[in-house]
Amino acid sequence: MSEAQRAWRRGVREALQVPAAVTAAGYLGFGALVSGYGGPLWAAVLSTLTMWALPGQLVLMDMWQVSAPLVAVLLAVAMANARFFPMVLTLMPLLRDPQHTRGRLYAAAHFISMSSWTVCMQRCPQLPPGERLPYLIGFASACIAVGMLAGAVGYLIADAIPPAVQFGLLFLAPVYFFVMLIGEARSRIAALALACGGPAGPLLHLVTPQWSLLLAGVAGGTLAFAIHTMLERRRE
Amino acid sequence: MNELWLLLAAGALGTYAWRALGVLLSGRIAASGALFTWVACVAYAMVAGMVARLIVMPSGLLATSLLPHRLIACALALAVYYGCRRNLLAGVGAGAVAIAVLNALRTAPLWQ
Repeated sequence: MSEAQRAWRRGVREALQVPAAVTAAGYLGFGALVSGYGGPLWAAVLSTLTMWALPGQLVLMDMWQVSAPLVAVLLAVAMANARFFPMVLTLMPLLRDPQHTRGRLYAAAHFISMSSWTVCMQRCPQLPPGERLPYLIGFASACIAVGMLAGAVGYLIADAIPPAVQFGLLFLAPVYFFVMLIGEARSRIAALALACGGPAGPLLHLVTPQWSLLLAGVAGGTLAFAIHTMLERRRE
Repeated sequence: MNELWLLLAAGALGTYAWRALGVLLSGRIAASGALFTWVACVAYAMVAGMVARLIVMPSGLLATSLLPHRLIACALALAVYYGCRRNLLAGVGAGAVAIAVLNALRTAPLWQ
């Protein structure tokens, strides 16, 4: 077995613990939601493979249900998923390795989501450079497979899931990210950005729901960057 | 209603475009520079902002629960996580059970 295969397997193995459970819970809820909206089963399953972004998928099905125009859907989904740009940008330097082609990097980008990004940002520096990309692919493909399966199951058993339980399933993902981001933030800069971006999200949502995510990122991130720069200067 | 497959294609495009842009520009920004640090700050802030919004003011089904309940569940999840020597499974599990119980107590009877 090659190094890459071993790294891939390690990714799969590490995904099939808490991350897979959280993914399964989230997509069970998503599948049930699509069923409740009267959408087809294939949409609940396929969108996980093609988008791999639960919040964006929720936005998509939400807007489909109210017959929103195509352009509005495209804009809303793009805005809900704008976070992928800085996320991919910051993870890429960790994934790069002379043995990876450009095409492989572009393909790998599709596998970067909230869960794989938060895990890889901490995990990748501990791995040899060549093994990071296969690790990410293994981790994310396991999660995607689980997500597709859970979406189908959630869709099919939607009527049997009481609303209170459906609610609990959907809430699992925010709790997971909440604990993970606070507990696993290793660097000061990450902690600063989390502290600044957290309050900015809900506050800006009150002002402008459509733009809140983007603005919270830029405003909170800039504030954190300013504080970080100031602290660095003081130390010198 | 719109053609769903068309929406799905648009959704996939609107999502992957950001990822591709990230790869495209990552080669042109020095990983040790100030610009890169700023982008990393924005990424973390964006993620934190989204998680906070999902907890404080969620939409759809999640909006039917009470804010204090969601906050209690999150605090408990964090407490159990640290209490069990940074065990993610224990923390998240505790949070999920807490919110389910709190919600069930409020909306009882749960199983109709």
